[in-house]
Amino acid sequence: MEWYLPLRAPVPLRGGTRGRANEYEIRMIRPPAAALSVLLGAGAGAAALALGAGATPPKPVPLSRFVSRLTPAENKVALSDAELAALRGWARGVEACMTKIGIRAGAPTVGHDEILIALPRVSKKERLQRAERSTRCVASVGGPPAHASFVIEHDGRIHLYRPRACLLPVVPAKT
Amino acid sequence: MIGLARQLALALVTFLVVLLGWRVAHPAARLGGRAPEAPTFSITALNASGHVDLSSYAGRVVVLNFWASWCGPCREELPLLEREWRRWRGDVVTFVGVDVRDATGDAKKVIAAAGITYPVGHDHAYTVERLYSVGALPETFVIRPDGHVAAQFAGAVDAGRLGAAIARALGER
Repeated sequence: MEWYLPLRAPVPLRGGTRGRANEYEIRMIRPPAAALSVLLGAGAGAAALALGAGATPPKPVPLSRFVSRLTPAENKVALSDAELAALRGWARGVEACMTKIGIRAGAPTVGHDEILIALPRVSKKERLQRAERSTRCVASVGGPPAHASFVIEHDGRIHLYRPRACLLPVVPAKT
Repeated sequence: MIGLARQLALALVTFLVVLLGWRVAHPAARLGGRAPEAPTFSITALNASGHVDLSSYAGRVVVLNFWASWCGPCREELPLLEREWRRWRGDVVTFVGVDVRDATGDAKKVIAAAGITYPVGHDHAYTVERLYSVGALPETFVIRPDGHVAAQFAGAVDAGRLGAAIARALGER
């Protein structure tokens, strides 16, 4: 009986492959030898695990490595049509206010889980001033609808969405 | 010689497969050690007199919920937590709330409005929040009776996932 190892790459024929580029010799290992290798490997693995279990118990993982974090992109709840319509209505009010005070803003567009208002590129200093003025507009139209967050992100766009959680600013460790 | 090398390679692959299988079967091994220990703390109670002391719940499964009154998703989640507390409290399970970055007056109003009956304490100066590396609110930890963290949920939990985590933690008693 012949048997070969499926994990092994084919070996090119000796003496070159001129004119026979696609031909390969499949080298075989007989079952007893392969079985012995498997048994050896499994035995070594089991021994390593047994030795590991008998050794000093592993230290607990630090909690900071265990916890998972929500990224801003993951922190958006999928919105129903009614919720999207309500958010868009509010965003139109903000856009109208911004236009009135001289901030050029695009019309609100609907993303799959948020409303976006595009803003033209400006310098970093102007961006800060614009953010302050935009915030005044947000206050003047009565703040975002219940359960919604209004964020001016680094991509220069205003994102209006319903968050899954309130992301906390990092508190610097005491020195 | 080539045959020997091939057999050694097969033995090595088998060795690695055995180790990998063990690590998949043992979740703590995937983390490179045992489940993390839940740091103990004692904070001022908001809906009772005295303190909320985590070490007093040793031997019970503890559902530890971080929240704040100004956080909309936290307020939305509170009724579910109260329901689940009433459902599980007969099973050696305790729910504990930790109010963070909040005005205690506001927190007490929300606790009363939501009808929260499980113990809730106030975290002064980010102490407990830092101990648990809390990055968002709400955030919930399920702690096993042996004081190790069994699960963590960033954002609001749903009854199904929370119930499954509690049942697993109870099973590890």
